[in-house]
Amino acid sequence: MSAQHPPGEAAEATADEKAGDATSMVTELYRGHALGLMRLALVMVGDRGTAEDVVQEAFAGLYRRWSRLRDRERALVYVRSAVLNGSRTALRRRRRPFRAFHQPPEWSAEAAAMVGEDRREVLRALHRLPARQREALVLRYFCDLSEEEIAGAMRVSRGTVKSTMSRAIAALGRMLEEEQ
Amino acid sequence: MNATEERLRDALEAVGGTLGPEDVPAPRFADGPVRARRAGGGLRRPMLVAASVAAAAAVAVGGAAAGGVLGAGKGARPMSSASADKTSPPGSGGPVIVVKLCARTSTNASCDRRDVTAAQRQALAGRLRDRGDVRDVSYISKAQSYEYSKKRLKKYGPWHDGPVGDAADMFEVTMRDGVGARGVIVAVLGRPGVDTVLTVRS
Repeated sequence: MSAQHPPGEAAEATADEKAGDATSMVTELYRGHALGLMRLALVMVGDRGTAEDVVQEAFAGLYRRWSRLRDRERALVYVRSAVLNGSRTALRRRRRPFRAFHQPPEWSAEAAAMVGEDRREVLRALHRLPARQREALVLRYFCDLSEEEIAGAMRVSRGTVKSTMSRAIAALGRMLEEEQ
Repeated sequence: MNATEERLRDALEAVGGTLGPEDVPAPRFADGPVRARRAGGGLRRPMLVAASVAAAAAVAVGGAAAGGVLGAGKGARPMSSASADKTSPPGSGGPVIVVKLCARTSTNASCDRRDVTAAQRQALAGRLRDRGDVRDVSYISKAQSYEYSKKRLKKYGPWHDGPVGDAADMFEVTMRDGVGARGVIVAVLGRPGVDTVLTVRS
């Protein structure tokens, strides 16, 4: 007869192992993708502090659900969706659409020329688009995701991604033309 | 890709590029729900602290293995006095820019009328030195910047007209031959401790 752990001890060891597995797996994911996701959150919400919170909360959610995650290969898709949702919530909570990016309030003529009013104009126009259109554009043109990956992150069909992006880029083009 | 798409991609990259590996904090995912940032930030309901510490340590070790990109040591190495005394002679290397750091006299509101801190200065130095397109980074102290501004920044206006105490610390950054300075300028503008950036030689 083999030696057996008392039931309580065995259960404890299993819980420890699960926590260890979640910690190492989520840490690995964090190490590889936290920067990219923080950048994604930054372009969505406009300030570093909120972007950092959104990403931390997304990973915290993944960590809490790790043991119940059916397909761990899709953990990145899960956390990317969580970042998008978190960004949307942060903007809604703020009750104002967008805060200026990290731009010193007073630009020297040289600096303004380099970073450019042009880019600020594009970002202002981007943040006037409906949230879903904005997200689709950021995932495509900033994260370089395929239509399929965007569909996964936004939890919509590929067809919806295609039509959303086409409407979004047309609307953005019109807004930028009007500005000129 | 049409013009709108190109402009969008460029603008997003410029903004995203303001975050670097050193901006990624240690993970807090094992600490429980992340409280929205208010004054001072912080966490609520800490749990599984050991797991969090392990995760933070794992990331720190990984960062160190990858060149210390997440560690506090990056860019913290002291600048040699030789480097501090040096200003690149015109004609050597590629474009030259000057990164003017925050000072109490800065009119840039993001400086909050405070001098750049040592930590901010070191972080910037590390960030600049680690770039592949940068050939050389020289630190110019407040005392040196007065003379430097008089000689090389005259065309930008009255930086140097005030007393020596009004001057600001600066970095003179020399790019590699054939490399533009745009990437560096975008990377440092708006970072904590940076007042403004000027192109000395394009």
